[in-house]
Amino acid sequence: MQSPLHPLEEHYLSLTRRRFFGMAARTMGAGLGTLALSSLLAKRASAEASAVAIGPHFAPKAKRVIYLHMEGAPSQIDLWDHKPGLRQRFDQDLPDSIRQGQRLTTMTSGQTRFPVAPSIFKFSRYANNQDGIWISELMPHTASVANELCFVHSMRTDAINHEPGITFFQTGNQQPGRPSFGAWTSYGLGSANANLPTFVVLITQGFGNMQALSARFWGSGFLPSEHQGCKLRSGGDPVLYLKDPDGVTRSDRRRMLDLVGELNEREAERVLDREIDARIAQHEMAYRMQMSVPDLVDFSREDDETLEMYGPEVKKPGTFAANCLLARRLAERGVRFIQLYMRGWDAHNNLPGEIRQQAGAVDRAQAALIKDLRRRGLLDETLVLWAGEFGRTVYSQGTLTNENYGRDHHPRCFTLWLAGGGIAPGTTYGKTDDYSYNIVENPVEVHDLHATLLKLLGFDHEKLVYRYQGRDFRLTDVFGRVVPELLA
Amino acid sequence: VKHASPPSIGLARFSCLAFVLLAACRAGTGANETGSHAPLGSASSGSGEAKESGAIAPPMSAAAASELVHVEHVARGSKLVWVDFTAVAASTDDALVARVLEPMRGDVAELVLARTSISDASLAFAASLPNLRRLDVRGTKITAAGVSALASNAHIEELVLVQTSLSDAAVDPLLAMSALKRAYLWKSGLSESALARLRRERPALHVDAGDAPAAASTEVEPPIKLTSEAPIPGDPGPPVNTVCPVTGKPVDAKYKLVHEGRVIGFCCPNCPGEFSAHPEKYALKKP
Repeated sequence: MQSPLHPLEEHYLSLTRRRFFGMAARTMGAGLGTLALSSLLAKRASAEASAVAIGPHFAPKAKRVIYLHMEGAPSQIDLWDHKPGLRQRFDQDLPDSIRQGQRLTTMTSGQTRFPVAPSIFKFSRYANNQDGIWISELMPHTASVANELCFVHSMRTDAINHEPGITFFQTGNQQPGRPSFGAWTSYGLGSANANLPTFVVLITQGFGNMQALSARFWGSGFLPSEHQGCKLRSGGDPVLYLKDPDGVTRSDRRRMLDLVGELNEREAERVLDREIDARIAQHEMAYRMQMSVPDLVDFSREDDETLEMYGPEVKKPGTFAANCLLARRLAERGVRFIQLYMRGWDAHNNLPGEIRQQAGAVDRAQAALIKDLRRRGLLDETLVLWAGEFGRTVYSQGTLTNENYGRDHHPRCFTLWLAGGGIAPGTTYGKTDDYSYNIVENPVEVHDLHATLLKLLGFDHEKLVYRYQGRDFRLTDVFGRVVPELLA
Repeated sequence: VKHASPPSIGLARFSCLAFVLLAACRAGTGANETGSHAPLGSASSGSGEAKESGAIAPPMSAAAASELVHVEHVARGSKLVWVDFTAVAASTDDALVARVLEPMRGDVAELVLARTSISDASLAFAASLPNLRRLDVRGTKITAAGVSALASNAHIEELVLVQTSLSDAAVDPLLAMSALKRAYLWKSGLSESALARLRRERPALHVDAGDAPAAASTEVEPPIKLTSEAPIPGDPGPPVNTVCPVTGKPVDAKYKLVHEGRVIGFCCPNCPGEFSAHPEKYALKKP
């Protein structure tokens, strides 16, 4: 039965589940009492987690996802989508036949000219499993793992600004309120390590313009709250208030949680609010994270060669390098959805300077992550996605010179790459026109990407649904098609 | 398609759920009773029930439930499972592995014992699991002697031995594993010559020792020269006139149209329309 429970069934199940626990606790008698309750509560959460998970519809290729989100939208023209012909079109006007009346943001709609800005970065061709892939000099380390990567040059999105663009990429809808991809994954697959959240978010500050990152990008929407992303902080304590204060022992904490849990249980029984269950589950998770998180973030036992591979920044918490290493450690520990946000790609002006710094911060570390997952036997079961929320324009925003230019938002085509987890390695899919402005071959919509990734996680995207306000909702809304060419 | 009738599915789900929870409770009350793991939570009953009711409960053994060991079907409707000790790696020893896996030994297709405190004994135990396809013992204290227990194994296809302290004596048992397709051996203690021998004698075996070569650069773009030489698509070429036929102002080459085979330039975006409406009025003298 792949459809969700009817609300009445859910209610009925919740009642019986509660009665069952109530009964078990009572019949175990006073001798067992609180002693058993703590372990019962702790174990119950995991038993419930496995019972609640939908489970894959068919054998998954990937057990987890590492999603490297490049917030601000990196320029496909300067990194991946090689257009050597543009070098002879410097400062020419973008032809109307290419622009085709495309809507512009208010940041450039007032410009009198749309001069073509060719990339000033040199590209090289790297061997992959097809006829090679051209990659910019800004990404030399990533190029060195080109044979593991699948590039999609023909991504397209509906949104033209960051907020709706990121929301669309994360939730399948431009308006806020839907569950994020990570929350759907958590809901669908459940936990593989009861001591850590199923969905973890890590953030790195960038060098260029930074747009606001709202917590709802990793929210659970109408899914139960325990599926929302848990953000680990980059400095100091990874999770605030996780440490017990001085004078509070772990057994004190346990007794406190047991009592609060009991009170919450009573309240849940009385008002039948599903969110109280989520609260109890989160208390238990926090208790377990008191033990699991310090070990997770302790890099002291990583060998020098590994640290060196990620680059010198790896020792500085919160950098992209440190977060890539942390992502590998989370993957090793069975976390289902690990999302890294790298901020600062929004290069409206001074693109060359900003992109040098941005690419410098991610290139070595993301290549190291691929290599590290590979040599540990984890890449085949871990799906890695690198993407911004849209692309950037071929025409310059602001003054165009031989050394400097800016680029505005461009939703009509951009490049992302995938690796591992059942993805066809060393391949390229889709093509753009000579100006990297329109897609000329094999367009891929955001919903198509979601449908494809869900398939690799073992789900039919049309059947992974959640009933809310009388409607069955999906990550792919009423759209999406799996792109078979991306699959190994 | 959407929903079965509420009572039937509700009951089926409940019985399925109860099965798991009962296992959890039993384990909680009798964690020290060795030998209490028999028919309760046996894999066959679990997966059978799961099939009928829509497949949510994995075949947890009581021990698996009590120890937060992850058990998951490899696919819906399959009785085979992936068992992962990651959550309790630090406290996982040979005794726990045996206690958890014994009741479901026939169902284990993938076993992850990475970073646990197991010894060679668990390798021998894993070798006895009849349907095991993938074994991950990354970062454990296993030895080459333990690997020799796998020598006669004819069904393990993928083996992860990275970050272990094996010796070259592990090569012979690896060569003898007839079903083995992929072996991960980075930092496994095997020498260069041992790895070379493995690759030589089993060319079909994918050996990953963390030494995969970087993708080669096959072509480098010539030095970048920015020009505007390329013809603009759809551009008819330079205009024949320098003065706008409508206003008499200088021509801006952006605004032009082709009239009777000649490219005519204008001063602004308004003039081409005016020209097209009354070409006889503004027609330039033919050259």
